[in-house]
Amino acid sequence: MLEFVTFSSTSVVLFVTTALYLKLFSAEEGGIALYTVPAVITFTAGIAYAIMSLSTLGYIGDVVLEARYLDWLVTTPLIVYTLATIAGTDEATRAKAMAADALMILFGYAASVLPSPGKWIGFLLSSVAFGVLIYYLVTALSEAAGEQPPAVETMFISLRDLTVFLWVVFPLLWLLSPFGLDLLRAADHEFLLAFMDITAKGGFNLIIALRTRAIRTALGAEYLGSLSADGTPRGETA
Amino acid sequence: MTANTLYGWLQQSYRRKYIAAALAYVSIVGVTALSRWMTLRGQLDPGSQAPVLSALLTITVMSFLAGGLVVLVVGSESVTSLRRLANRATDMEEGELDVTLETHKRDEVGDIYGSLAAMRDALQERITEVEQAREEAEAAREEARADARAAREEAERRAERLQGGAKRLDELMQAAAAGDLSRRMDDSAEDDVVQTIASSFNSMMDDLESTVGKAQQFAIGVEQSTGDLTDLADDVTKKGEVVTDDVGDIIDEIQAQDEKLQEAADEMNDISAVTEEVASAADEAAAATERAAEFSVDAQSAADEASSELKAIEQTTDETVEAVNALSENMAQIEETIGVISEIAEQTNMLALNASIEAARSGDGGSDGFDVVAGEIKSLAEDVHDQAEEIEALIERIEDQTQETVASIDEMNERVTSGVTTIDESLTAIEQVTDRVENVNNTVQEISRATGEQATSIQEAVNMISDVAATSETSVETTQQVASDIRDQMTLLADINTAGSSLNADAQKLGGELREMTTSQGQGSQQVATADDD
Repeated sequence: MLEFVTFSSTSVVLFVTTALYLKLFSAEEGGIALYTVPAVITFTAGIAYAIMSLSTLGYIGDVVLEARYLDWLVTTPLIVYTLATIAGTDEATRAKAMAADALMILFGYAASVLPSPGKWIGFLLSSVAFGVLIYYLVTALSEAAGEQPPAVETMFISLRDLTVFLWVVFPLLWLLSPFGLDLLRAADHEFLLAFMDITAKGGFNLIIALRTRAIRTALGAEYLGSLSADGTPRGETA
Repeated sequence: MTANTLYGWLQQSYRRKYIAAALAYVSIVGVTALSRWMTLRGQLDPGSQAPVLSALLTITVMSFLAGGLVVLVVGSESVTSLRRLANRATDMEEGELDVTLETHKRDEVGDIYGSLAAMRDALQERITEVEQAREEAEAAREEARADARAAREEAERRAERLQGGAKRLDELMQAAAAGDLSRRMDDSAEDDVVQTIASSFNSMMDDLESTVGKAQQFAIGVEQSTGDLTDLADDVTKKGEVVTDDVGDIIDEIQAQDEKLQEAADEMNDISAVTEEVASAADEAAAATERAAEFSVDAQSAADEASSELKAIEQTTDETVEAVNALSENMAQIEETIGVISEIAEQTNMLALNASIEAARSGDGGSDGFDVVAGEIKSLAEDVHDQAEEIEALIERIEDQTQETVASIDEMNERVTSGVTTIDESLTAIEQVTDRVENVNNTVQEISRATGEQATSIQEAVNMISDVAATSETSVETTQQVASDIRDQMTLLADINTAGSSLNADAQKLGGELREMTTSQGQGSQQVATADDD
């Protein structure tokens, strides 16, 4: 019952975030990948949590784990995609970072379903992929963002710090969870994961929406550089 | 790493301070949770140990997340802003005053941006003022230096001018002492002192020179005048001879010119006559073409008439054909009637035959009269039959003739049609000819008019040439008069020359006497010699 409340309320929160994001932002900007991808992220996560809720009620089999990892397999590469787009990095780097992210999720799923020692090998490989991803975020992407207008760079740094901080907690949580050292009960584990998912996705979207809106209102669209709909060339206002 | 270096490392960045604070916060929560767990574990039964541990861990993780988010939300943004602000300030410190100082922030960092921008603007203003003051001072110093240099140069120039003036004065005084009174000082000198000296000196020299000069001018003047007069008379005589020769040449040339003009006038007269002939020929041609034009118009109207006549004939012929055809039909009807008559004759014949047979059968009495009548009727019927056949043959001939007539009329009709076509073509041809003849007529008229004008022009030219010829004859007479005048003049000049030579001899004698007189006054003799040389 506790897990149903957790999942369903998370689902609702994520849907609300999606709607709020679209209301605040993408409806005005329409058609640009950056402005629709964050909405897709929270919407996908919302669907996943809805499925998890149904699963706990027994309407469908126990697919909580599968739903979660499928969700992450779709949404986390999209988060990386959004970060790379805001930073204005080249497409090759963006593709590599997204590939590292997908591998991290796949190995994480393997770690959750395999018995020991397979699970520890999976955890190790997933952590290596995570390290590669962090490396891209703090080097190539941050350097690219340094050439964006200051307002865009600030936004990128906020999003990057939020993502890195929260994503570092996920493997620690896995260690404490029933899949790892089994120090946390399943319900507590699910609750923490749900809270972190909301923060990592919903918070992410709200930062983009509110920050971009504030910049546009206070300084004008050209301060967003390549992110602005009118396509002012990057660096002109840097 | 000692505590001091760690403290120093932390002090360098707000980011580090925030992270350290977050870590301290998590440590406090973690340590508290751990100590609580150690305390509680002994008191709990094994079944409830796991849930409690899970709950404590959950609280610890949540507090870590909350602390981290606070650091991110509050810290990250302000740290980034502060770092950027610090970079801007460093740029300004290094002299880059045109850094961008715009921000969308309305918090304290935004205020600092504003203050920094104001400070930057003030600083720029102050720098501009200082630079301007420095430039002004430098300009003033340059000006003063230039003034001093100009004053010194002016003084030097003046000293040089004075020196030059004194030197010149010395030279002129020496020259005057040597007898040259003609030289003067330049009184347009720049220096006013030199100018004063020069004008005084010059006026003194003017007085001196005029006194000496007046005594000499008369003698020199007479001598020079008579000498010049003799020379002039010689020159004039020489030139008069040359002129006499030239005038002779001119007369010859004018006469030659006159002959050529006569020739030209004759030739022009010939040309004029030819041109008039051309003009009259052109007039005749014009008249001829006009006549041709009239003829072609006549031909056109005749052709029109012929054409309309032919069309009338065509119509009449058509009517004749119709009449002949009607005749032919009537013939056919006559033929039919004759056929009927022929039949009646045949039946009558048969009737007569029957009557004679009946007469023979009825016996002898009185039968002879009836038989005779029957025979008479039979012979009449045969005559009728013969006559009818003859008429039939006649009608056939007439029909044949009618057919021939129709054929002839058709042929004639065709010829008339072709005649109409031919006349139409001829008419078109005549119209074209008329147009061309009119064109030719216009052209010929134009030629006639132009030739007339040309003839007039040529006549005018002939008149002009005659005038010129007359003028050149007058010129010859005038020139001959000039030649004889020149010869008279030359005789007079020879007389003048003789008189001048004698006067010159007298004047030289007078000059020699005057020179004697100047020598007795000392320096004067050299002055006269100088004036002579000039």
